[in-house]
Amino acid sequence: MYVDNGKISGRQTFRLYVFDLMGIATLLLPPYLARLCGCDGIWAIIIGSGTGFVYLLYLGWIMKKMGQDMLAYLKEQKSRWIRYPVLSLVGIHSLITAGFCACVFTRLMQHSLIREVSYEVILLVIVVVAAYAVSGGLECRARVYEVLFWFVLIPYVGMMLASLRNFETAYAASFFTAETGNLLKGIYLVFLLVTPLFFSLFLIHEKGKKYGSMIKSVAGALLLTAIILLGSYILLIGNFGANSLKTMRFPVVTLMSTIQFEGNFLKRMDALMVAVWFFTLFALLNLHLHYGVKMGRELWKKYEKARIYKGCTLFVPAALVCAVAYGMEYWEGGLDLFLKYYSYVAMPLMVIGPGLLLIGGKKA
Amino acid sequence: MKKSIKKGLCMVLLGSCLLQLTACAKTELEERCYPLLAVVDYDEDANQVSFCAGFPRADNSGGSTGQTAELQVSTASEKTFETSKAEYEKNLNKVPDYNHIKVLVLGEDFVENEQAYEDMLDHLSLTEEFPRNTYVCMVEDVEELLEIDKNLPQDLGTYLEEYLGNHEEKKNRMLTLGDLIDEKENKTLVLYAPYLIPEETYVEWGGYYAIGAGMPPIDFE
Amino acid sequence: MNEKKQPITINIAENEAGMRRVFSHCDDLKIRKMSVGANQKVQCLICHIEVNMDNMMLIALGRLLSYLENIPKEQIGFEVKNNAFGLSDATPFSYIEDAAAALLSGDAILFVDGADVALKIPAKGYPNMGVGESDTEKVVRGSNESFTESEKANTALIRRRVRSTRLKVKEFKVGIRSHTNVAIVYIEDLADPELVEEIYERLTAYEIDGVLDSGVMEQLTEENWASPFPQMQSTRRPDRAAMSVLDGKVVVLVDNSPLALLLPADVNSFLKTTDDYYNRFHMATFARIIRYVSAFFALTLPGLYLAVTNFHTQILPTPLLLSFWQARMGVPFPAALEVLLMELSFELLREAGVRLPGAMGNTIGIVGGLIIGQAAVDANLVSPIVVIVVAFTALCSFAIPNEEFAFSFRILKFVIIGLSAWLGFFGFLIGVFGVLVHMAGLKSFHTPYLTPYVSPGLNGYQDEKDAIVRFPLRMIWKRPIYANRYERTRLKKKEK
Repeated sequence: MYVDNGKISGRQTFRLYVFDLMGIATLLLPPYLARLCGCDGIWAIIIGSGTGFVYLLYLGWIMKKMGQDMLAYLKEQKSRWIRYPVLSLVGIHSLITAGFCACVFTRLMQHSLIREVSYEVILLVIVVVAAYAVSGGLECRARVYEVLFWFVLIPYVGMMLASLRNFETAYAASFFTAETGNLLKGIYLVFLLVTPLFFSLFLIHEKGKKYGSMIKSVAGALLLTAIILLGSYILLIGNFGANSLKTMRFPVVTLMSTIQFEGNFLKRMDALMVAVWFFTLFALLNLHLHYGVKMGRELWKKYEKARIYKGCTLFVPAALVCAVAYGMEYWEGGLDLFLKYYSYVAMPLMVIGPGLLLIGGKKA
Repeated sequence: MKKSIKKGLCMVLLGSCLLQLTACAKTELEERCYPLLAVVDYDEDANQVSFCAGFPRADNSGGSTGQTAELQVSTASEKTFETSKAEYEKNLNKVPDYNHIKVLVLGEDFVENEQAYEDMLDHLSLTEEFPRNTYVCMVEDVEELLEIDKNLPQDLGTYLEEYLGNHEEKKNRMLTLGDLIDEKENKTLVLYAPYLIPEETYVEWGGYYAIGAGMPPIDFE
Repeated sequence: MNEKKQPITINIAENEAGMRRVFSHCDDLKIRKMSVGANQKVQCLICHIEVNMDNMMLIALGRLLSYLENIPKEQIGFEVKNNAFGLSDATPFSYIEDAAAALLSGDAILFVDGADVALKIPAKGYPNMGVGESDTEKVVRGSNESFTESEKANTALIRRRVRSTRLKVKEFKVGIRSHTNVAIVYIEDLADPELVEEIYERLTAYEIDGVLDSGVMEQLTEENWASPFPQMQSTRRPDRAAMSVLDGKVVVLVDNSPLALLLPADVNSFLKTTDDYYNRFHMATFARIIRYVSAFFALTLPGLYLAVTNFHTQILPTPLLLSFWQARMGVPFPAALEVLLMELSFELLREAGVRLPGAMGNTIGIVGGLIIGQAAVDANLVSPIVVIVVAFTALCSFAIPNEEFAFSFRILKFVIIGLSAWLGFFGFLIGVFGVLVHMAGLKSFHTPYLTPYVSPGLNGYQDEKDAIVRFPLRMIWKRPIYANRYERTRLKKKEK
């Protein structure tokens, strides 16, 4: 019989990570890359994804050393003076990033589907549904995306292939023109978007076993995402041109509006195709909210038996996500501050932090 | 006490949801009108941009109630494309939904006025009101083109879409609004806008009009 | 399966033990002891499936008793062996297992002390038991029999299809006042023993006055009682129940209820029919695709219509949009209210049709659907497009084979309508995603509701072969995930 043990299969891990990585990468990255590197953005994607694989290998090495998932490792090997701050940091980071995802998600929905409805209402609806999804646990989330996988991927790839019809080779012909500094920035940007890989440290695996197959699944997801991102970027450049691409807000959605099939019953499919980013952004938002809630529950585990424990540990993080997303929308400079935080604080911590945890501080 | 608080909270939530429902800004289908054609020109003497739209006829809307779908109002002229379009919309009795625009007709004078032309593209790329795959064509005198609308068996927008589609070749697709918007930024390609000559009951193919690549527009036979 | 056979001996106690061993945990097997012969000194046993005691068998027994009346004990063994008590069509068996097989065919078996053979007393096999045709779950190909309201008869209907001594029937009573018979039917080596135990525990977890239908048991035992989705599959078809036990499922029968409960259930089992397995795989797959698509539209079509016409008209081709636009002219209600009213009217018609006797039910359908519908359109109360949308949605919901499952879609359709009317396609997506999340969190006796679309790797990706696409039968060689993990092979080619 099935058991509720918080473990997910290799296929679920693969599909979950494809959703986590693909949505925001295809939606936000192209205009930034076009601004920094133009056509050379493809090198940034290739090298950035390559560094992602290196990061994943590093995480695999850490998992091997830990021999278990990070929560269990912290519980068994570290004193509370290390465990609590680490859990707090991961929790806060998860919630801030979830807020960013919620903000992008809300903006996309407002921009592409319902311009008349206010930002707050959309945000609230999104966070409530995300909290509901999180309440089902990791397995529930994994099942949703396992089912949705082909329904999202096939239309997306199909539409992308259909956009080849409008591909203008003259737009995608100026390579090796980007400055080295900008190219490096582009690579870093791509690398930033693969950092949800960090959370693979928290996927439960049996002591000393199975982390290898999990890493393989995550690597597969990273590879597929890199291919999709690369393909999408080339098509966007070829369809719009780098200069036009950099002025666009959500170019990949705009691309969907330009594709027409001859004799097709549906006239324009951009509204329908927004579903791709609806599901993928939800995946990323859920991922971060899930870990925000999980860390909170670990930190306040002593109140586990209280009646309001489950409700509070879900409601408070969800409210915080709303607050962060609201701040990013209405506080000028909020988004910039987030990008700075992510680039200069979160990213280095996610790289160095796990390594630091391996040394010293063993529980007596 | 606790129960009453819960009930109260539920009522507030329900009420706010209902409020949201009723305050929803959506417009019903029948309260909107659907332009199929947009015509933009520039009057050099008055230094004004003119805008007008073409609507479907009752007969090709598939209805049988005899209500006309035509909402033609006279052309609005203002300083910019944006203001003239807004002025035009004010005169309509329904909310325009530009999602079904098939053809955007630009007057030659308008395209030659770089400022007015770029303003229009800026506005359309920002608002994304018109579909990017709307066909674009050019005429010398938009008034002449609008005149033939009365003599056509169908609305001008559908007629022009079919006409331009008929001239489209597989390798050389017809110019669209998206191409104009992109090329405004890219300045890489030379775009060829179909140039039409309105006759009494039909339009005649007048060749192409070259736009873009940072060059001044050229009349291209 | 190639166990050594137990020979029938002259010791009747040994033979009885042998039969009880073979039919252990089969509460529908009846073993009756009798004393016959001169001075009633000879013991004999009559074994039969509970409901199979028919007139013919009683006549045979009468003849037997009168034949034995004056025969001394020493001679009885000889009489049995050589004359079969004068019953011309009685067959002797020398092994317990052979006798058991004959018993499962619907005949009675007679053991007599002192005789090392058992006699098959022929009956008509499994009697008809007033079995009727199934009104619901109709199939084009396959059995048309339906369960009756007797739990005993229903058990026999399953046993008739699965004539195995491993088919176990666990009977118990539920209801402190009604004392209703409940039977758990499963195949010993195929069903997960933990599952059987848990089902029994859950079925007996409540003290209740009376259980008058299997629906009561269903509601008391399901894990998520707030969910609109049924977590147990109900069926009126004995062949479906038999197929389920062969898959490793457990069937719950409740006396006075013509519906059997099949456990555990998953989303795929609600969209399958028995003739999917009787027809060729092309036909079965096509039918399943139709059902899945129907289920999707039964849930979403009215919502999608509202989202598209009120918010995202760019999706529609212009002539179609203008046709919708023209149709909406003069309708006094907002589109959302119009759809809601039409959907409610349809539900009203359906409810009225169900409660009325057959012929009148049809009349209600015609009056409601055609006359009122046409009149409403003529009076410009609703637009013809909405009538088409609602009718198509209804058609889709009828294509779902399971009534309870279809009902959950019909209920949730209103949520999607509300969300789509409020937030357009965004609301629509929120609704669909919410339903999916809810289904992903549901479990039926520990089996995820979205099985076999989730974690198929646990069963070597075999369950996916019997999902929306039904692979050729010769490729579905494994039982589903909920079957006992040591008995997963259900099909293999015979070795030559």
